[in-house]
Amino acid sequence: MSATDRQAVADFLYLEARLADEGRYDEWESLWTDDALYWIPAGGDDPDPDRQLSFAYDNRARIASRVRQLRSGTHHTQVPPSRLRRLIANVEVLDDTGGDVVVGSNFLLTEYRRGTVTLWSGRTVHTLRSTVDGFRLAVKKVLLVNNTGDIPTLSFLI
Amino acid sequence: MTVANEYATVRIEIDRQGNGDRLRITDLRTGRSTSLDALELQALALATHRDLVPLLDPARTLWREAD
Amino acid sequence: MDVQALVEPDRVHGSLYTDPAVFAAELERIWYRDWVFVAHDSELSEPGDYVTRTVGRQPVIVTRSEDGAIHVLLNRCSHRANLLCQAEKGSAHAFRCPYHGWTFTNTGELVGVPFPQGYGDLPPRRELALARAPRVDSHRGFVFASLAADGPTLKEHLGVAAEAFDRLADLSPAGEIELTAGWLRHRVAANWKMAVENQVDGYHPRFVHESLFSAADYQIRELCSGNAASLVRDLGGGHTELDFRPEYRAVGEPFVWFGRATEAKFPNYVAAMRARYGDERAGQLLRDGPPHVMVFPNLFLAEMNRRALRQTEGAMGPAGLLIPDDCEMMERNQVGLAAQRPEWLVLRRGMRREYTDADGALASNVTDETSQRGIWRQYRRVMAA
Repeated sequence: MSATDRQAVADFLYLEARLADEGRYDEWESLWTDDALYWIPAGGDDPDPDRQLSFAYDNRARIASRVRQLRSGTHHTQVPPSRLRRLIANVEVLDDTGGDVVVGSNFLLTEYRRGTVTLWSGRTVHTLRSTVDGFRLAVKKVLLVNNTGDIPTLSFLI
Repeated sequence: MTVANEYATVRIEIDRQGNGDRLRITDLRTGRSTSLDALELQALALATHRDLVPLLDPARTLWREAD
Repeated sequence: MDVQALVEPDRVHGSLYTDPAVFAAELERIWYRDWVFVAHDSELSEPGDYVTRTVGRQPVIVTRSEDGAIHVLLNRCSHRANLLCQAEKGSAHAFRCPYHGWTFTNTGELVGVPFPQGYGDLPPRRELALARAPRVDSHRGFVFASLAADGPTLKEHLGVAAEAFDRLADLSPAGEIELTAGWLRHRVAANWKMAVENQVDGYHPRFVHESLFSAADYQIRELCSGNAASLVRDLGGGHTELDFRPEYRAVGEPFVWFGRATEAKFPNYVAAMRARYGDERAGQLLRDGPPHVMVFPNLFLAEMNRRALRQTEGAMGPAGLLIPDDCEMMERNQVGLAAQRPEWLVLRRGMRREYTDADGALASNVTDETSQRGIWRQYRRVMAA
């Protein structure tokens, strides 16, 4: 992959992160493809999603429900909304031989809400699809370092 | 292949040296190993877990006093 | 301390949620005495399997021995208190302490110690066995332990609530459920009793879950309104229920409780249910649906099904669309309790209209606080020293 393409991939990751950090729900939702999968595994990094519960295993319809709920203004866990800012690093193109680009990256996200700072971190594996309008997001798999234990409420877009 | 739990990790493989096949079991923590023939394995197959308890005594097998 | 003075028939004192002395007393009188849910049979499917859990604050190992029995051992080496089992779950007929190699069977007996001559005469083996819960029992595969040697049997403790387990397990054509899809662990900064009360609170959904009603097709709003036929029930023993069966029966169709699916969607399941239970009972089970029951102090039962994994994820857990709003309310309650007045929480709703039903349960409109009063009545009883 060329350096220019790599930068385009990283730029998309930064864009997606910024939209999620800033609660720009509609713009974030518009990044997704129809066959979207937003997956936050629980109890490890590679469970069988049909046999093990995940924190989130959202298809496109559930992503829409999640965003609608956030947009309602009455989702109490996000009233007031969390103030978020994440760092993305260790960006690696894992596979670009098929039509889609699979990207791995690490993140460290700081959440501030009601007087409490919470750190979230882990690895994300994005699957990006090239379209005439640029990249779209097909899969986002978020591997929290603490997904084998307990986590507090996670109702913002991670 | 290996079989592991919190307390031990062992490698098992077929030992084809000698005049017949045996099951070689290697304790990967100490490096010690043994090869069991089919009759010994049959005994294990027929034994209960209770039968094996004396063998689990650490004084007996791993950490006994100097003889 | 006199916890009983803090619980009155129609109000409870705020300090019950905030006073560390109350929490310490609860550990002794509830968690280390009552029957507490620890594991499900299906989590220990083979002899030698174990899971590690906590009872109150005490770490325990739940094991299945060779003879099929289940043991609840305290996860503490009898030598110098090391944590014997690190893993969340595993398979081991014996445990070897990583600190000094002391080895125990999965029934808690001491097998041996390294270099035993250094001890001269060890105390008798049985004195060095792992500590254990003296009573372990189960109902329909749900395993409970009591750290007290005496007290009501599990059957006596469950009382009428035992039927809820039957309703759940009987939704399986095998008569058994498997609880093998893992756990979602959600940390909430609130007193544990708020979760117990909230699971059977039918008054809050249209306020707390308003954002979900607009976002997704969720039936809870209809089921939990002042006009609903649904009921709240105090089953005795601190066990309580939101009973949606009257609504489901009014519709008269099966699977109203499962997104209003039709029998045609699950032909094999329906056929298997009919084969096991006969047409009439199968029809009743599929129409009535699963229970929504809070078993005091720590087990809540509702729909469980592999097909419902996606439904469960949509509602439950830290990233679900339903339960986090309940947890937010609990956390805000906990913050509110830092204000010291008014001192008492008001639990009067429905006192004038609750009634004893045909099963001997105290029932009322689903939005009434009959359930909370039932929980606190049991709490007051068990917290008497």
